[in-house]
Amino acid sequence: MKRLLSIVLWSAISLAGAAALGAIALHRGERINATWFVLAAGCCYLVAFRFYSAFIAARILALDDSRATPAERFDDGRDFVPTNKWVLLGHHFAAIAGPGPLVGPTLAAQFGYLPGTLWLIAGSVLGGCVQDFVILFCSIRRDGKSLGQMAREEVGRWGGFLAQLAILAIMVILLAVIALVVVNALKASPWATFTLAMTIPIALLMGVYLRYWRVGRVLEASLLGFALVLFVVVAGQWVADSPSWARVFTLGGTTLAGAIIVYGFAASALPVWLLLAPRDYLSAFIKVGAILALAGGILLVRPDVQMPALTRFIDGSGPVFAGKIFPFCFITIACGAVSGFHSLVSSGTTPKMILREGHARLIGYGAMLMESFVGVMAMVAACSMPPGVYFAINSPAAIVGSTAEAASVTITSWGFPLLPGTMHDLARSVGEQTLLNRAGGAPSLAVGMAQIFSNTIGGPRLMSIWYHFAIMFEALFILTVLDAGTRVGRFMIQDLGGHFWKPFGRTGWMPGILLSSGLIVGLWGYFLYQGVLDPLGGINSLWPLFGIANQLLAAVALVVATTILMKMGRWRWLWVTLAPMAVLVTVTMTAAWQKIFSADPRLGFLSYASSLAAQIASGAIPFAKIAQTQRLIFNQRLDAAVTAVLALMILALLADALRHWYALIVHRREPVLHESPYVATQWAEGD
Amino acid sequence: MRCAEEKLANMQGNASSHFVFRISAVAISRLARAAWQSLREWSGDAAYDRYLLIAAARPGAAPPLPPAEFYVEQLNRRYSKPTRCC
Repeated sequence: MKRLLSIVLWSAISLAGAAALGAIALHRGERINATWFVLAAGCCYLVAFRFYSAFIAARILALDDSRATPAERFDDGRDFVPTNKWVLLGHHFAAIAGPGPLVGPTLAAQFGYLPGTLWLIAGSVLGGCVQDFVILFCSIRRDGKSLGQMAREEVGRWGGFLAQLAILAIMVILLAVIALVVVNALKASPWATFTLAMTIPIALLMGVYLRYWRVGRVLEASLLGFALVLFVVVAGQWVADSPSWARVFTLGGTTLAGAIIVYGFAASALPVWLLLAPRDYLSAFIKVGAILALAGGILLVRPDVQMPALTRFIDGSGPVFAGKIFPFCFITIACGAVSGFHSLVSSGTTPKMILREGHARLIGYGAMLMESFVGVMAMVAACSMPPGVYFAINSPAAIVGSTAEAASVTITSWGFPLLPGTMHDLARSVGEQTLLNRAGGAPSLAVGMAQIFSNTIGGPRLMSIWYHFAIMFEALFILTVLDAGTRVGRFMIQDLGGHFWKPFGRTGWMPGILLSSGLIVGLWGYFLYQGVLDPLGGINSLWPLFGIANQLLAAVALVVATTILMKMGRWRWLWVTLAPMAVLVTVTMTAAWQKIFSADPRLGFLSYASSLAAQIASGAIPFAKIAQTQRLIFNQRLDAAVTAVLALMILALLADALRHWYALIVHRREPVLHESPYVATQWAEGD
Repeated sequence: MRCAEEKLANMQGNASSHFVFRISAVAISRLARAAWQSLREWSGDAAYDRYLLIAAARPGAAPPLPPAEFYVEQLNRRYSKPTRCC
C-alpha cells in the first residue's frame, strides 16, 4: 500500500513538473504567470533529488553510513565539528549562494525567459548538483582535502597546478566583476551609497561588540547590526533629500571603484574579527532572509512574466552583452546551474563537518538545488518587469543613449515599447535620479524585487524603501564575497611567494600582509577600473570572462571526479560526470574562441581593439580622447590574452587527464585511490 | 518523557482535551528548542560551548583557550580559505 502511494505521489509530481515545463516552453504570445516557473522548477528538483541523487548515492558513490567521517575521527571543536545535517545544509547553502545566481539569470533574461530557465533547471540537476555532490564525497573520503590536493594526488602534478592557477584566476576576475556590479548599482545614487557606506561602521561596531563586549555572541550582534542596517536604509532617504549631504554621497564610477579598492585592501589587511567577520555574519542573515522573502513574495504575488519566451537578441546582438544563446547563455548563467567555485566549498569546510556519509546527498546535491531555485526566482523577478524597462536599465549608454528620450526611441524600435516618461516615473518611485544605463543586473533585480515586495507589504508607498533594501542586500553580500575573496587571494599569493622568499609566506608578517594585499587588490582593481571606463559597460567584457573562468574550474572539478570514478571501477556510470564535463569544455572553448576572434567588435576583443585602432588612424577620435582610446585598446588585448590563457589551461588539463585515463584504460597504470582507510563509526544509528 | 506527559494528563483529570493540549505544548516547546539550538549552531553562536565540550572530553590535553582567544583564532582559520562563493 505504501509503495503504491509512493508511486502515485511521484507520478503526480513528475506529471505536474512535465506539464509546467511544457507550459513555459510552449507558451507564446500572452503573458505567463510566475507560478508555472516555481512549479516546473520545484517538481524537477524534487524528482531529481528523489531519483537521480539517490541513484548516484547508491549505485555510483556507494555512500556508507557505517564509515566514520573526518568529523568523527578528528573531532576537535575547531575545524572538524560533527554537525546536524540540516544545520550543515544551512551552512553550505549560505557559503555557495552568492551574487552569481542573482546577477547571471538577470543578465541572461535578454534572450527571453526560456533559455535561462531551462539551463538553470537542467544544468543544476545534471551538472552543478552532481559536481558539488561528487566532490563533497571525494573530499570526505580523503579527510577533507581540498580540490587542489585531490587533483595533485589523483590526476597528477599538472592537474594540481592548473587547479591552483584556475582558482587564483577565477578569484581575480570574479572580484573585479562583482565590484563592477556594485559600482553600477551605486553610481550617482546618494541613498544607496550612503546605506552601503554605513554598513562599514556598523560592521566595525559589531566586531568590537563580538571581540570585547559579548565575545562570540553572534546572534545578538547580528540582531543589533540588522536593526541598524534597517535604520540606515530608511535614513538614506533623508540623505538623498538633503542637497548638501546628497552631494557628498553622489559619486561617479571611477570614485566608487577607487573607494571599493581601498575598502578591499583594508578588509584584507585589518584583523579579520574587526571588519570581515562581522560583515559576513550580517550578510549571511540578510541574504538568507531576503531570499526566503523573495520566494514568499513570488508565491504570494504570483506576478505575470512580461518578457517573451525568446527575444530577437538570441541572434547575438543583445544590448546587455553580445553573443548568441550558445555558448553565452551557458557562460552567463554559471552559478545557479554549474559553478566551479562550489567545488572549493565542497572540498573545504563542509566535508570536515559532515556527520554521516549519507548526509552528503542532501548537503551536496540538495544545497545546489536550492541555489538553482534562487536563480529561477531572479529570472522571474527580472522578467516580471516590462521588457522595455529591463533593457533601459541594463543597456549601456553607447547602445541606447544616455537620455530617457533616446533610450525610449531605441528600445521601442526593438519591439519593446517604452515611453520616455516611464523611466523617469520609475526612478522617482524608487527614490533615484535615474535608472538608465545601470548594466550589471543588480538595479534591475532590485526593481523586480521591490515590485514584488511592495505588492506584498506597503504598496507603492514603500517601493523606494524596498528598492534600497534590495540594493543594500545585494551590495552587502557582494562586498562580503569581495573582502573574503581578497583575503583568500592574499593567502594564496603569500603561499606562492613563500616558495621564493620564506618571510613572504609568513601570514602574520606585516610587510608580507601589506604587499600581498596590495598585489591581489591591484590585480582585481585593474580589471575593475578598465570595466568602469569601458564605453560598452564593462559587464559585456568581464562577465563572460568570469563565466569562462568559473566553468574552467568546474571542468577541473569534473575531471578530478571522473578520474576518481574510473579508479573506483565505475566505468559504466562515467557519463554522470563525463557528460557535464564535455558540455562545459565545449561551451567554454567556444565562448573563449568567440571572445578572442569574433569579427563582431562588440563580441571579439581583438576586433574591437582593431576597430578602435582604425578609428584613431582615420582621425575619427578627437585628440583629447586618443590616450583613453589607446588604453581601451590595450585592455581589449589584455582581456584576449587572459581568455587565451584560460582556454589553454583547459586544453592542458584535458591533455593531462586524457593521458592519465588512457593509462588506466589500457591497464598501464594501477588504479590507486588515495582514500583514507575504512574506520567503523562509533556512533549509534540515531546520533 | 511519555510518562511525564501521561502524568501531566492525569493531573488534569484525564481529560482528553487537556492531554492533547499538553502533548502539543511539549511538542512545540521541543521544536522551538531544537530550532533555537540549530540557529545558534548555524550562526556560530554555539561554537565555544561545543569546543569546551570537546576539550572536557579529552583529559590531559592542553587547557582550553579562553573565549576571546578561541573566537579570534577560529575566525583567522575560517577566513584563510574560501568560505563564500560567487
